[in-house]
Amino acid sequence: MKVWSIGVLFLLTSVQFPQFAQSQDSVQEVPPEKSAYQKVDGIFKYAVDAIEQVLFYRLGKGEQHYILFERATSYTRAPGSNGVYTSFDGQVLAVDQVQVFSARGELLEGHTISGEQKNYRLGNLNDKPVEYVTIKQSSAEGSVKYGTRFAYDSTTKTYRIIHKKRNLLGEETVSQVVVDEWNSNGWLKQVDEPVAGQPSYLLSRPVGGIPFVVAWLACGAVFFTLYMQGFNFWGFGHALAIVTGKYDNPAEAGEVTHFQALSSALSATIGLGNIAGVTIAMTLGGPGAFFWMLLCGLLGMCTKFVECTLGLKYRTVKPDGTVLGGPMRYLKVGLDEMQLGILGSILSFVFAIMCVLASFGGGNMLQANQAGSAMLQMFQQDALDEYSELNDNIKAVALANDTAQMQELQSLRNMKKTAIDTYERNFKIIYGVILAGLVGVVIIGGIKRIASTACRIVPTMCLIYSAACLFIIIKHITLVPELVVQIFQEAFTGNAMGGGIVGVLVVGVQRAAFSNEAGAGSAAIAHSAAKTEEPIREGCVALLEPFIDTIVICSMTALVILITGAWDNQQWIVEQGLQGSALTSRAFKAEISWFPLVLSIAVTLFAYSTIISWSYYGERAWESLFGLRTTGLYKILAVICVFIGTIVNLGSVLDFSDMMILGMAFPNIAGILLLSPKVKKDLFAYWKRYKAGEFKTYS
Amino acid sequence: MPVLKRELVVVPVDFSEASQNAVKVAAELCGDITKLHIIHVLPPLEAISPAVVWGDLSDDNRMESVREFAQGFLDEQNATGAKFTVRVGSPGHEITDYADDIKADLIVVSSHGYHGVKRFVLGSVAESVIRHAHCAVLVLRRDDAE
Repeated sequence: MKVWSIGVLFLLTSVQFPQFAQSQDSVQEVPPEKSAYQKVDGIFKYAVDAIEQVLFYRLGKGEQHYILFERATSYTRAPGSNGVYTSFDGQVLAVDQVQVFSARGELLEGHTISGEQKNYRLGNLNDKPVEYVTIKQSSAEGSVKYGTRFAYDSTTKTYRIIHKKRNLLGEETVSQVVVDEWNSNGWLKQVDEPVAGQPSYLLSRPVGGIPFVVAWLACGAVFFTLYMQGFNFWGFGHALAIVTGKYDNPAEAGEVTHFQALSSALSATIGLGNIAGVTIAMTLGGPGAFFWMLLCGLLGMCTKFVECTLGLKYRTVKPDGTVLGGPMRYLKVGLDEMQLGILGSILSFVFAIMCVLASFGGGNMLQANQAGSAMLQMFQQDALDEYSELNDNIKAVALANDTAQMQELQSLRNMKKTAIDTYERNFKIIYGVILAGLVGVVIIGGIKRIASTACRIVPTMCLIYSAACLFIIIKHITLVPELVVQIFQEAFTGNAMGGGIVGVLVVGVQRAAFSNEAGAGSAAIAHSAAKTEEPIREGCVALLEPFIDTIVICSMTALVILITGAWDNQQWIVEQGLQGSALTSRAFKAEISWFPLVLSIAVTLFAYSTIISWSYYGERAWESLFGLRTTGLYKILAVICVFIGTIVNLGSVLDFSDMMILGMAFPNIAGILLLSPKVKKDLFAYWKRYKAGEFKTYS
Repeated sequence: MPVLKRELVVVPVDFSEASQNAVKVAAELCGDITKLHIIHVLPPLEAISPAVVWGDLSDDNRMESVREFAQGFLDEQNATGAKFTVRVGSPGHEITDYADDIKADLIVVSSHGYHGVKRFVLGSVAESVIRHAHCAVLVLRRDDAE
């Protein structure tokens, strides 16, 4: 006890922070050996980057020049010495002092070495290996913090601050004189490869422009809407009539009624995109993005109409009455009819491969992963709150130089962290086993009841979710008129993103397209099972899908995020770093305290039904590639993916497979563009018969 | 050498061209069309198919559809009067089990004649039938076998 208090006394008096001096010497970072996971992730990262270059190549992008303030001092020591650190000009930094800096958040995060998070990093100094720590510093007057960015404004020749939130430009500016001074002090990050005639501190990043895949989907949607003469508007009433079962003839070939086909396709579509994706769009693009999201949903209806009509038109009915249809077939058979057999076979093959990969990724691993995280977060909410409170306290006592208290809290925090991590690991394994088991008994074991029950709850969950959203919207009804004005204004001014229509448009369109999957071709597989011999009729039903998914359900989420101000909440977004479904959950919690529980259950159910429905899509694509008798292998892979998706956090693997869903749009839209004249001809022939009252009704 | 007994003949069909040929050969061998037993094996129902999850598709419906379809097929092949059976499961096992059940003398099976990767991945129904059968098996090679 005595020793301890003397130690504290010593520490309190001895913590004299050294004066920082700048040296031109620098330590080269040498990252530690990667774990097996990180290696696999690294391999996929290459693939993801390559695909991203194509899919997300930004047409008409610009460049923003900016500087990055990184004033810092590094201290080094010999590897494995556990002793004090020394700066280049001989200042000494004790291990305790490093801890204090760490607690204050002024230390550059250390490396994870053999699974343990260290305060220090590994590096090389003059070709000798060292352990080093880097202390972040503010500008001389303290107003500019480490990591602050300033954008170069070529008209005023000054640099304007870039805020963390949505990368908005702020009012604060610095002059060239100050920047030159910073640079001569070595406080600015330098470019890796200097360009002749440009200062070495001037960094650049691409801004603006439209990602290629988004343009592809949007152009497709606009084209189909114009080409079908706005059928999404004038066919809407007829579509509703069909879904009610008015034209259901049980004697016609197919497996399910129009309503059941729609439900099936919706269960694959409604999921995380409606909850997490929309929230991301709102936080990135603000109210204006909402307008473009709705428009994209509205136009996407015609894309869905065309692809699902084709799905049914070119399906085959097997002797047992089951059907095989979808892009794999219409691309091949449909284009073959137009003497484009080779192109058709290639498009169909590419589509099938992407569909299988998408079913493992975006339709499976990603769903399992996100559902697992959402559940975990709910169970761990209290522990996480305590943990972040402890962190705040540590920072406070560190600033007050109360080292003893700080160390006590730090050890408490570390225990908490270990407990949280252990819980997380165990939870994910158990959750993964249960979810994979529930998927396995259905897709391998053939237990029908479970899938059927889970999927049939989805519409109810949608209703509960929408009701909760409506409740929140009505609670804030007085804000609605103002919000509507803001939505329309910002759609064309893009104020939330610092101006410009393109930015908000891209955000809105991209998220809507991710959510309703119009153009990806997946839904055509489900719709081709409908019991009808009129392809146009099923196409009509399919056009309701983007309406329900985007215009109804996505809007609900979006309005809640906008009306509660969550999209612009500094504390939640910047300080607590909440995003996606975590932010949605937080916004709901502020309005209905117990709703996050319902939300996590809903997310799990949505994820489960999406996995089941997407496995069906993937299996059909697999069947077209490798034959019906090898689908057993597909099923085993799918179940393994559920488990892997839940337990590991392979960011790049998930990105890769998620991108495949959008990738499917390339072969699909290319094919349906070529086939659309047939659909148009069929549509007008059908409509003529409909108007002439030729169709029998059954109920 | 005893003459090959071929009174009760079983022919598995998947309604492809190859199986049409098998029906023709079996009918010739058997002589009496009523002694001809044609079987079609359906793969088990997918529990994730929209028709199972949302609709009411069952093995019974599927078997009924196949029976209807088979009627037309038999008429086309001049095999009206042959006995037709549908079973659900793995083709090799179901075919030989059926042959055992009716104490068949001969199974006439067509082979797709795959080689290489397809052969490895798909295996062969014919192979499986040969392995499990307790009666004579006649395998017909397709003319354009790979």
